[in-house]
Amino acid sequence: MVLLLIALFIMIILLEIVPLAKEQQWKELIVASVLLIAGFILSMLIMFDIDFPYLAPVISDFVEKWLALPGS
Amino acid sequence: MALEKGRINSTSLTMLIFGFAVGSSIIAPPGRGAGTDAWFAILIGITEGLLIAAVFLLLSKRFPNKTLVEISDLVYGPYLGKIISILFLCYLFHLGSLVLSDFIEYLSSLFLIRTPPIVLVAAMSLICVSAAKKGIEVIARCAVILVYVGLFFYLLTILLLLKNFEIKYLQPVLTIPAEQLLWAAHGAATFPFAETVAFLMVLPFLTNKRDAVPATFKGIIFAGLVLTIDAVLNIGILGASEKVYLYPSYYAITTISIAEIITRVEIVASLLVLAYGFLKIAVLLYGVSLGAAQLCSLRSYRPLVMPVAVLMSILALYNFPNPAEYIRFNNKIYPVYALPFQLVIPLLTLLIAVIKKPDQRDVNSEPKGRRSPTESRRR
Amino acid sequence: MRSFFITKKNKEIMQGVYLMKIFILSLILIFVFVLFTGCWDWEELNNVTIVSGIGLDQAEEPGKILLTAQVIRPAALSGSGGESGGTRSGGEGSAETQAVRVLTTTGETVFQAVRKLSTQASNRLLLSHLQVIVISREAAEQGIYDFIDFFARDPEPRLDIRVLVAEKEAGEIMRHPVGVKSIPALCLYRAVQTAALNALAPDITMQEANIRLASETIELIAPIAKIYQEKEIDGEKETRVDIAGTAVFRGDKMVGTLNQQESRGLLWILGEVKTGIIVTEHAEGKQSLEIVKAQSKITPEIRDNELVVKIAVDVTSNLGDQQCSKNLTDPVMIASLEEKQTAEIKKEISGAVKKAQELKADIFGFGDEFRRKYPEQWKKLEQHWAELFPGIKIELEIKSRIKASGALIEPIYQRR
Repeated sequence: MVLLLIALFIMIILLEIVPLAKEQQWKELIVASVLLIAGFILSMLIMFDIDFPYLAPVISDFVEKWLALPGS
Repeated sequence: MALEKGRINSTSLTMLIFGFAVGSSIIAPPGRGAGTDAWFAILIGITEGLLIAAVFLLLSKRFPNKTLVEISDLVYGPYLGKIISILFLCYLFHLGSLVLSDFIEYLSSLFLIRTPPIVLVAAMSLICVSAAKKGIEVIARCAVILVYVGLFFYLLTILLLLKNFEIKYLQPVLTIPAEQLLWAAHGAATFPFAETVAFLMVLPFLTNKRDAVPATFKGIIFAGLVLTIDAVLNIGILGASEKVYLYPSYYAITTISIAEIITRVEIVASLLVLAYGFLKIAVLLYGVSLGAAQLCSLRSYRPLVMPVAVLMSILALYNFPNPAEYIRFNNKIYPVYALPFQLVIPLLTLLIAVIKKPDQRDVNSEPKGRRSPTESRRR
Repeated sequence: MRSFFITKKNKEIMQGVYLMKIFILSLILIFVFVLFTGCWDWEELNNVTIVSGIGLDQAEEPGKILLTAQVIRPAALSGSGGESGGTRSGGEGSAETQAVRVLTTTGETVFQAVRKLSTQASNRLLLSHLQVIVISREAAEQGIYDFIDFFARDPEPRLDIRVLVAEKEAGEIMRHPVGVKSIPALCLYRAVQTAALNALAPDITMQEANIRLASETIELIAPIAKIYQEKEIDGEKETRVDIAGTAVFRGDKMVGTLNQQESRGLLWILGEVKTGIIVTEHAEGKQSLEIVKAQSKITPEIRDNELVVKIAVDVTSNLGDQQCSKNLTDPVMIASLEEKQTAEIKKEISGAVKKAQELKADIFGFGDEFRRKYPEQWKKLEQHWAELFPGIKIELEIKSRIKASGALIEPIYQRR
């Protein structure tokens, strides 16, 4: 699974990042790589069983804490 | 700086907005908080949605060739403007992941129970990536085809369902307390009608800017009617048990059985729902990538589509731990959570723009747009 | 490029070469067809009898082996008998319509018995399609190796044969109809796989059995086939064969059994739980949780002369049904249901460990884990492993998550 993911990312790099380098669009390259690296790190962390909190409960708790909600 | 060269006409905008608004809402129907009066809640929701839409349409009218990112740069200045843009893009990003996880949940709880969700996410987001990369024009043209095909099957489904429809389940009409009704209506307005605020990233590419208002309104009203009919059908078929289903529309369609020949059509319906979801995710993905590219003043948004989709997919897997949180978020939290992005940001931008620079055009022709924010704020 | 060669001049030469090539090729082919058609080891289906299952018991005569083989009758399979026949209908189906026939003989060794059977079967016995070997409990307690050496040594049986232990007699299981297909042995084979899929018993192939026998630490396990007596229906006694728990061996001798709950405990530790139903009791009723994803990881640790095994299990399940009518689909309820699930899994795992430690049989492969992580210390540990194993402490770390509640977001009916 991990290898598959790495292969996927390598493919994305080949298809997305390499053409940018060829066309010397450095700014695009930097932004795209930063996002991609973030994605890669996150997915690797998930693969290695680091538990991220689920987003919805976090937002729910936050909103409920700061606002008194009308009952539904 | 022309990041997008494609242009869309008003018909495809209407279709796109229709597909966008129906999108994931047909699997998780809005207005369910109102019980048997859900259809009425949706009708009120349309009105509120239109009022919210009026705000961003007015904003778009003031800056006809600019996306929200560029508008906020102009209105707030370079720094504050960037912060506002980032907030807005974060919302679009999160919305995209929410829609994605809606579909993943739908597929993985009904059909593909043992398939790892990551596979489903990847499949869905890859299609959206390819669409978003091709530009808004392609998405819009897809919308026209998909909406027509979808509508054909939708009407067919309604016809087939009419046999099982019991009007008595809908009676008595309008018995729930007004507060609950309005809350459900507000829920319906924020999801899905006011989510069309994402079109602030798309409207500048309309060929004829004057069509923006009628096209958007048409799309929203049209989608609202479809959702209303859907709500009526769900309650009319499933009756009191409607409220316990996670996906009532799906279960309503499973009751179709015409002479035991035309049965099990729910898969076809699900495919169409998937197609509308594709439109919604593609538009959001496009919006986020375009916005991010404009934010960093890049020459092209296309390289950003794939990385954004990767991040969106990861977030989609980490949205809801279980259905309980899903319900809690959708019913209670989302109507509040979405409001700053759907209403406050466009409204604030509009007001500041009006105060800062006295208009060259007359934007005051639509007094509705002015009144709406205060009304919605009171809720 | 091609058109370059095929000029007017070259064309004739090319054609000649082409014809020559075809000529030589056909000569070679004719040669091959005529001379290399047959081989010495050919088998005609008419001249072999396919064995689908073998049951091994100890014969009443001491030291002898009672072998029961289920052989396939291809004629009955291909004809109308394929579906309707089989031994399913008990005594009703006539001998002609049954897809299998059961042959029995005794012998000093397994191989001798197999050869003796071939005269009964009137053909040579073909073991390539053997599906299951069932060994009686009595025989397994004496030492299973005497019975399965032949199946490992002989080239015909494949490594994917399922090895089972019969709760009583193995022959009886061979004679008994199983499942819904016409070949009972095949059904038994599938039953083992299905039981493993539902985490009721381990799926032990010949290969797995060989690995476990060859390893000095990890002990052999095998699923148990049992004949259940059911209520009499219309005067006829109904019986059925099912998989019931796990046989535990020490060396090659069976020393005890794990029940279904403990078997799943074992599978949790082995990381082989794929799906299954966890029943919890919560909020004045029972619920079943369907396991959709499970992973486990074993980490051995040596802490000042104490052996500790950390078992981390990661489970995702769906709420499959509930007997109480409380609404379980709210965040608080789900959280407590997850706790119940954790407790249930803990109970199963510690049950399995306790039983295995009582039987002094390291069926989990803890020894292997220690060997891999502490190769140096293992040399010392290895000599006393049998005494050390019962003293191992386990630490459980269970992450459980309830992901979905099926189609419903609240129960349809709630008792008031």
